[in-house]
Amino acid sequence: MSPRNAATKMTIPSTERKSATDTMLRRNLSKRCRRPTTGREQNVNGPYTRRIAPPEHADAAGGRRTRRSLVPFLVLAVTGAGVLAFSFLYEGHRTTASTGAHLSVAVTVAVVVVAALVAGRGRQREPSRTWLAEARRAVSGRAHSDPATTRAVVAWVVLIAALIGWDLVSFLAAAHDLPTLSREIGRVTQTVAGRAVVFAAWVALGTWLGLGGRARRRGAATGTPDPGEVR
Amino acid sequence: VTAGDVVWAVLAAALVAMVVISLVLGPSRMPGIAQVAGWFLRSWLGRFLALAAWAGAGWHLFCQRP
Repeated sequence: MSPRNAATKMTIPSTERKSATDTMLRRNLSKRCRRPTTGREQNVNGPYTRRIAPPEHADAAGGRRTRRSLVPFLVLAVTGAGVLAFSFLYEGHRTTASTGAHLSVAVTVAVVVVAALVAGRGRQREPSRTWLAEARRAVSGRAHSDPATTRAVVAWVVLIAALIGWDLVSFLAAAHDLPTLSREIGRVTQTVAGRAVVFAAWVALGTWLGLGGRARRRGAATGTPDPGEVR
Repeated sequence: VTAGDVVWAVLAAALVAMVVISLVLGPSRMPGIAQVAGWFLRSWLGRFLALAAWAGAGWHLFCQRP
């Protein structure tokens, strides 16, 4: 006896097999039994009602999640290619005094700020007041942090202070032997490729500052609100 | 190569070393530049301070300096 016939005989009682209704039901059941069995079949309401349990990897939410995760990647790739093309074909050939350079920087800043406002609505992790209070506690040394974090913060503060301090010294000295940081970078941005690469890096940094570090939108993936969400 | 160039090279090397150390040790033991910048992005105020610095740097680099 084939497995298909065995399944049919097990689920249909022999006393009802002669009725016309049962014949119709048996046909339906036979059709259902032609589906490949996965081991996840279960009786829901009786012997004639069967539901094939969906495989774990093919549920609707999971499928949507897979497709959704590709969209940001594609948007990022297309935008990155566009920024690179713009940088090398247009911005790299501009000079600092040109109207085109002023316009491209102004438009980039405007686009990033508008994108930050639109994409970040209701997705900041902390209210500004809380963040400011935390910053005050950190500056006054009243913040509770572990020694490793304190060491890292001190190291970064010392390095950034050295960068700013040396730039200030060079600016005030105004000597040929002491170039400022912008003059050093200016040596790179004098060339077409250098200006294009630095401009593309500047746009990438601005995009991250405008759009990065957001809380997850409420119910986006799990249906539960993000605890750090600030609307 | 001037004396100022040497100082800038040393500072750049220190910056790269800090980034590498933070990558090797991980953010829990040594927060990197991304974690420091990410702290600014937690609130609107911090984000706009960072964006203002970014916009100022861009204007200075691409519209003022040669």
